[in-house]
Amino acid sequence: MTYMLDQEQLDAIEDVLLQDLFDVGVNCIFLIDMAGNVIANLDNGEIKHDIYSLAALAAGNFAAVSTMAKIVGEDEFSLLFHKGEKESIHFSKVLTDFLLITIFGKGISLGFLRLKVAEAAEKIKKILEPSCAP
Amino acid sequence: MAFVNLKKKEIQAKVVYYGPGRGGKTTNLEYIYNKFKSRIKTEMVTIKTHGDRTLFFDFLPFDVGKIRGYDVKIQLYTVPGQVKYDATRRLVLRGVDGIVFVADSMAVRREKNILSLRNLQKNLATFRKSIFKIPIVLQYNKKDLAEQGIPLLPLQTLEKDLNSQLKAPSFEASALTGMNVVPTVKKIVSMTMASLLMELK
Amino acid sequence: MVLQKDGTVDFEVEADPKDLFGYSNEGLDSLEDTGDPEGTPLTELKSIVLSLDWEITDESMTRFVQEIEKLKKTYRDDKILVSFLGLLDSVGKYIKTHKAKAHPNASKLLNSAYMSLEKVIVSKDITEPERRKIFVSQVKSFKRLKEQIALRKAASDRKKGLKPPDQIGPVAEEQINDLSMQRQGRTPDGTKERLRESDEVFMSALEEIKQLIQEEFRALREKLKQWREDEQGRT
Repeated sequence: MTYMLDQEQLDAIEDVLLQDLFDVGVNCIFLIDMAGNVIANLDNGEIKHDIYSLAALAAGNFAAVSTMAKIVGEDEFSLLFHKGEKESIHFSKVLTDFLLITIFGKGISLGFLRLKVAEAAEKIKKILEPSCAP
Repeated sequence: MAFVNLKKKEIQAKVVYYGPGRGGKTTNLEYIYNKFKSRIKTEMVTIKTHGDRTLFFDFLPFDVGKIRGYDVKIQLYTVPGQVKYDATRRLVLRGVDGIVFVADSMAVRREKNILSLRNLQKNLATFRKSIFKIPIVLQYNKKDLAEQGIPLLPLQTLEKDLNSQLKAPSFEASALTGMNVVPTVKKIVSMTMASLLMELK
Repeated sequence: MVLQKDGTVDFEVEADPKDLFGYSNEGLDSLEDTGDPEGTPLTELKSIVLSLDWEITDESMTRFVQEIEKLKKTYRDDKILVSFLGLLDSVGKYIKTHKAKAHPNASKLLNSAYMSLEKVIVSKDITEPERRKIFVSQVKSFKRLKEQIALRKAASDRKKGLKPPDQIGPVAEEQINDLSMQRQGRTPDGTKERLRESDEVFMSALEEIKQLIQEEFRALREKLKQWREDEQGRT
């Protein structure tokens, strides 16, 4: 199902990403759909990641882990997080078709980040809902 | 699941190359990547086994250019063809907008082509998509092997096995030499775009 | 991004920006490496702090605050430890109240304050001045956090068109307290009671801290006087 997001929605999403996540020191944030399309992304200007490849891999990764969850009898896992030496990645599902991915350094605790992500995800949910298929 | 970004005036769509193992899906993408390197600003992503078989997927973002004032970005994916990777194929198919079915023209692969096409139909159905409605192009790959005397299936046989009901556009091709690789991708892109535009009306 | 021969893709990772506020950036890994507080009453608190690094919930913050209360009783005869625990208590209650709206440095301070507390308790040969030094350093971080909170609130009020605070910077500690506590007390979600409790703990912790700092200075002045007398005796 093709879906559209207009300027107002995309600006509102960027505002949420900027205020709730970027301002607490996250290095890179992107919102994607489960097909791997990039909806919005913000970075700190020093990051030069290939967002489109990351998006494709993130969608595949999340889908693979979700499938594993079902095989072991879980509806889904509540945490998908990869810890690196300098950078870590956190995945959060938004509605059924979207993923919010944050890349952050050692300056933020995962626990605090998860609080911020949950809050941001709620706001983004409300912005996306009108565009989603019923 | 194509995404239309009204702010950037951009459309993103997903095309998946499907087919039996060792049929030439990855080779198609590698050819496209090498051919359009100057236009494709990123590397091709491949997740392979040690034996060079696709383990998860290959990915190539492809900027098609402007269509009706919109920048069109097609994400090309391949799936692993080996039978045991069915669960992986299913999840790569998620959100697909167009399919290239890469059949292996070698005579010994006849059965595998048919099974793979049925597998595609089944996996599309898990996402409530119909193989008869989704934009699809058939590619009968490995035509170059004829020169080496390897028995290949005639076009008629391939069409009868794979395309008698679908009646989709088809191309005889050679991903290794590049023959009809670009026409295949051009065809699927235009079919996918046409389908999206119809949907948006 | 570089495609490797084995088919994997290498992404370049940028260097971490400097932390300007002096908090420990170590987090979970360092906490796990600080050695075993087994045999001390800190085991439970450590496991709670480690779990907070992964997930902050109402339940875990309540457990944190309860454990701090327990430890205050255990260490009631040790002024520094009680003040230390008071500091942790304040930060914990702040995070519990504000959750996602808490200043990001609050959870960093929680971790670093815990690590320092553990060091003070677990280190066998630590001297009294060393203990004080560690504590005072955490107090400085604590004060910095309060300033940061106040600044952030002022900036957000300015954005909303509200009056800016009178002054930030060389203000008496009590004024910073009043300013930040009053502004926090205006939160619309009815957390005034909890904040007042938190205020009182802040205030008493600060009183203790002030006294300790004054004692420290007194001790240093004595030492300096002694040293001068010794020097004069030699010449």
